[in-house]
Amino acid sequence: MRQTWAILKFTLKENISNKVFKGFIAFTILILLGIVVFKSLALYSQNDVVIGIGQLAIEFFLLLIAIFASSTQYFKDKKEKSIYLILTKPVSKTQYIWGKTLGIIALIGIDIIIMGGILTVILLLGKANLTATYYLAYLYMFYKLAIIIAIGVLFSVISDSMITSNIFTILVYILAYGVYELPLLAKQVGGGALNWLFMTLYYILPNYYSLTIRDALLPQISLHVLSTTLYSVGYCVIIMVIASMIFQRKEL
Amino acid sequence: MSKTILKVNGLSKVYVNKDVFSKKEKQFQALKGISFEVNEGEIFSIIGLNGAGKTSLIKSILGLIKPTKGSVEIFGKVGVLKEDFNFIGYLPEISYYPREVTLKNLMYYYADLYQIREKKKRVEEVIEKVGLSQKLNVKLEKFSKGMLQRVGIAQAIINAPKLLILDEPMSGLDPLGRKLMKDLILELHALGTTVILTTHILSDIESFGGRIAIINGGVLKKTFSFVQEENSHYEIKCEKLGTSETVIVEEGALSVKLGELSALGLKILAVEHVRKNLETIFLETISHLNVDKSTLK
Amino acid sequence: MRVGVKNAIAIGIAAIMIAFSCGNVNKQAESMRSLEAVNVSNGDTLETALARFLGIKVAACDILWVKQTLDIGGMSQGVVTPASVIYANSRQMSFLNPYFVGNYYFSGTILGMVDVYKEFDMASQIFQTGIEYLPTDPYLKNYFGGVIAYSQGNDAQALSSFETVALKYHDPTLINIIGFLYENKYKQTGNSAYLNQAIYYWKENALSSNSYYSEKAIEKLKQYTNYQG
Repeated sequence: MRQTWAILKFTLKENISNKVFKGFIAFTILILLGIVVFKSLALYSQNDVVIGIGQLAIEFFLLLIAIFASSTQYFKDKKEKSIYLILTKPVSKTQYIWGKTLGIIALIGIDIIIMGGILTVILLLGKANLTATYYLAYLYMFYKLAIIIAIGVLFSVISDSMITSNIFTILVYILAYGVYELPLLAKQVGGGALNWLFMTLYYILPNYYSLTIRDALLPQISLHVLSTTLYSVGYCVIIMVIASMIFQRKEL
Repeated sequence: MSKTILKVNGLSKVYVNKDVFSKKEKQFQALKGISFEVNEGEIFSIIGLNGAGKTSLIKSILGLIKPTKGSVEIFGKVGVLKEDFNFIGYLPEISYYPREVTLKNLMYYYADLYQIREKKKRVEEVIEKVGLSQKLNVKLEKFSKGMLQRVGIAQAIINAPKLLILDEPMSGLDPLGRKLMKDLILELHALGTTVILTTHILSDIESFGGRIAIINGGVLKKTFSFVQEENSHYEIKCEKLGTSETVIVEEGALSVKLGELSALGLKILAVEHVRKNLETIFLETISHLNVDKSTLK
Repeated sequence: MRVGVKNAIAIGIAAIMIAFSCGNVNKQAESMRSLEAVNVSNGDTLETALARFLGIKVAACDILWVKQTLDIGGMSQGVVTPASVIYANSRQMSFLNPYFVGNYYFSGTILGMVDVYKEFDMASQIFQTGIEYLPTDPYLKNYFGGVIAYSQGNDAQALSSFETVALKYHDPTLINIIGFLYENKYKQTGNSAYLNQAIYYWKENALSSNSYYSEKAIEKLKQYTNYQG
């Protein structure tokens, strides 16, 4: 447990100190400030425009970091041979993979707090009326990104190539939004392998539609925060356990 | 009699590469039935050309790769467990450290992985030993190749290991660095640490003494104890009736041989004391060139 | 592949967590899905369908809204965006976010009231969609009523509908239209009471944060008064 925590802390420190990462965050902050320009272009509902585009921008840029970091971390460590420096210490492969994944998740969490904080300050200075849905949208964003990080790590240990790992992770992210369309598609194709495929995907893909409350058309929707938390944590745990089981058997 | 700390039994490793598109399998045998033992407290050097299988052997010993055949016994049991690494230190041939962290943060990280209690004290001790005390709060991006190699050694010894495995420890070090490394290895050896190291720089390991294994093409060619005096002989150039010959005599038998040759009426032209260095032994072993000892006796 | 006891326990607990919570997670999704627009003619294009699919309908609507404002704002530079484009923007916004009332107020009023357009059918469709999704909006019916009255040549009725909401909602577009209608009536009848009303509304818009409408209002005030401000 302590080793997992040490790897988590170091992964966080390593990424926060990284110049490319810092540049990316600075760029995203500039984009957020630039969104204030949109505010002046919209005739009414200026603050709603800043909220809608701002939260999407935050999620988009953090998604890029999440997918890239998670689906390439293992390949990077292997290529640079820094993985040997960890696994030749009293650290199991399970601790390594959990530590790295939780480190990336923690990194994304911190980024959401920073960027969400900046956007919130911009909105409060603009006298926006911020609802509970607005704030919870960040929490749900974190859950979505945590799930995609776990999926990215899973693909990185399954795949032999960084590119296929990235592609599959992005594919899952996109398909996860359309889970409700899958039973309709299954019905359209009738029986057979495709029907089976669509229904299997419907059951195993994460329900990103439900987690995207930033895209809710009205703030007065039925919110189940505890259930969403349990769902997201449960999903991440299953993915991570599968990833660590596969990684145990993987030759370095 | 020393305990055996490491036993390698018939280790073989075949790498299989499957091509995704053609589905063809390419096999490469990196290790072929290697067996040897390392005793507690000794310095055991493994030498070989590039691609001989040294790194694959080290990785198999450390459990980083699974051997195709054979086994490795460490600390008296088969295979290496996570807990065994509390007593093992490893320096890989090439290692990468994140550039934007400081030396202190990196060493604290490794100390945490070992769950070292007084980590501040231990880190300072180890950094002092490798001569990097002035660089504790400096980011690794400012370190030279030699300094990074010393960082590698520092992380390998931070847990005061019983078994220290060093893959090309002299790589990237300047003469001062190499002296520091040699002194460190000898110091650890004096404290009872078992050291296994691989290297290309043969002159460095001559001074360690200890046993040497030569690997070539994945095969263990020879294991021997290199002591300078055991690898020297005398060459006597003599002449009889206009024909000159060279007679090779082992250490300790010179005076007797000189007497014999004189009695046979041979004129002694010159006596040369030839010291065989490790490089010669190595090249002879891997190319099967042997000195012809069937001389006139 | 052997699972191991710890892994099996972790998977088991996680599966229970998911099974326990997925009902409510689905309910959450359903409450969001139930708000989505259905049957918005000319609104469901490939782009809007994709935006819905990818969970970016609100942001896409916001971007379209900025585009709509810029397209219409081009009139101040002499660039007249075709009515079909304004209509298409509005319908797509309705498909993405049918609860964005600004779209109906602005697009419907511009298409119905501005001289170069006067597309009452398009305006009518826009307002009807708005009323369908926002039946309790306090201003929409007045906007719609005003446009219908204007289309029938009944300026007085139009003014009555618009003035009921103009100062409550502080819509600079509507206030500008009221000023325009009063100015027309003044030009037709010569009655200065109409001009005074126009000036009243222009003074209101002169203080607007929207530079396009405030500049227009100031221009009018300078034309008819000694406005210095």
